[in-house]
Amino acid sequence: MSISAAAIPMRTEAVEEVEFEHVFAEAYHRVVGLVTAVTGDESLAEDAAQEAFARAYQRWNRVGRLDRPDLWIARVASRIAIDGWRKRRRETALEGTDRGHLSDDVQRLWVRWQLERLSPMQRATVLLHCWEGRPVAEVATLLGRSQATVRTHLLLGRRRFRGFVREEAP
Amino acid sequence: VSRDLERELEAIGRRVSPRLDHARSAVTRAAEQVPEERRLWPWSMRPLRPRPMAGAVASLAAGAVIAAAVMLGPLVRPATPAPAPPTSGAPVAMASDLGQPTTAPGTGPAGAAGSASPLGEPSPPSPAATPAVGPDPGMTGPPPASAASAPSAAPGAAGGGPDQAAPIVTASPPPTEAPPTPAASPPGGPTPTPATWSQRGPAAEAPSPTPTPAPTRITLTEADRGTTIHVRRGQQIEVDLSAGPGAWTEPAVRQSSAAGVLRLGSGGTRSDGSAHALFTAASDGSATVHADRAPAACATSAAPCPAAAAQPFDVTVVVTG
Repeated sequence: MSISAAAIPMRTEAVEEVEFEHVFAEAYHRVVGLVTAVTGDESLAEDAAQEAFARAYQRWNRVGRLDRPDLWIARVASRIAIDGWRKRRRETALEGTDRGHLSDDVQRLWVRWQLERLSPMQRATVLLHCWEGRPVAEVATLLGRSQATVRTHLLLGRRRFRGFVREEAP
Repeated sequence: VSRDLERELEAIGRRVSPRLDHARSAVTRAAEQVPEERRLWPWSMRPLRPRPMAGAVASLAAGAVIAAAVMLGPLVRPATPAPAPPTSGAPVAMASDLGQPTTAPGTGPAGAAGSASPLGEPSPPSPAATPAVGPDPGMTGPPPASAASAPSAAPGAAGGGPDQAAPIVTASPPPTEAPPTPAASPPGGPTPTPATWSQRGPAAEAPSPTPTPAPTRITLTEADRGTTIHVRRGQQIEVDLSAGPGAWTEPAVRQSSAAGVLRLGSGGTRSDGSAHALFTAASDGSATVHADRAPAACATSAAPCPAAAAQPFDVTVVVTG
């Protein structure tokens, strides 16, 4: 998917509305799936995705000019979801996500993409890195983190996955 | 790989939130729940919110202003009076270029000397130690007629006799104003002071950026006897002759180049022998303010006091516009 609004020379309000509708229809489910995979919380993911699209709608005259507005929305949704996940974890005093509430497709995704033992932020880093093959620098920009932090998240994710595989091997 | 991931994410999203139209409505509702100010104000016209660093920036700005004021302070203030060595010739006490009288109440001759030194005129040493400052070799001249009573004007001049020249106190207008014109001394008066005198020195070379208006009132004391002061129309000249041996007569205008140069506002004598008068410089010209102090012996004697025993007080006032 490649939605480039910057190529449009004249952007009227009607044009922006059409662009937003197009991006929403194209990216909404993917953003919800991404946030669900990041936090494992489906209700949180839906709310976070809608909040991110609402923020994009409010400032679409700028977001719509981005090369990939859907990635901007995905980053915002991920951060909203992670903040909500942290707040909920503090309130419920739970360590991590209760895997018992995970749906089968999310569990399969976590196992396939080695996301099980990662933190939500590390999951978001890995997913955004793998999604469309975004380079580390771009993922760092999308997540609002430094490149060193993103590399550390990726490295920790791989190490944890290797350790998990060794534990499960016997 | 990314296609597989994208497909999986989309499948999860469709399962979690299947109704796209419902989600679109929710997005619209969420977008409308924006703060009121965002809807009322366009982005470019939105009022500034207080930033976390606003206080620090304001503190830094205030500190910079204070530091600039401290650094510029010495430049704005007039130069500090420097002690002047003894001089020869006619001792000339020069009021500051800002128009401050050198004979402010309580300062006496020392104050006059201190306020004159900002001019920074070099002065050759002289055995006749006179605290007057701002000497100019060209300023020497014959002693004024009223110089006979000058020695009591300055402590440093205590050793001097009546033959010493009387100090000339010149109250100049501010540097930004027109330079004073040479004033014609009344016949028999003190040596006229060149008008350019007040324009020399560092104070004249570097005028203050904030000119100080001339004082509206100049106070003359016994120490100013025999001097000539230059005032501007409208200024007030207060004569305050303190008590001492003998009694002062009421100060009055004795000689005047024209009628109404000085207008007497109030005046009189006190029981302790002191006298007081307040004049207003009404028109251009020169006038001499005169008062006599009779010795104490004369006050108690029934015989008329001889004229030679009297100690006159004469100050020539030159009024210019």
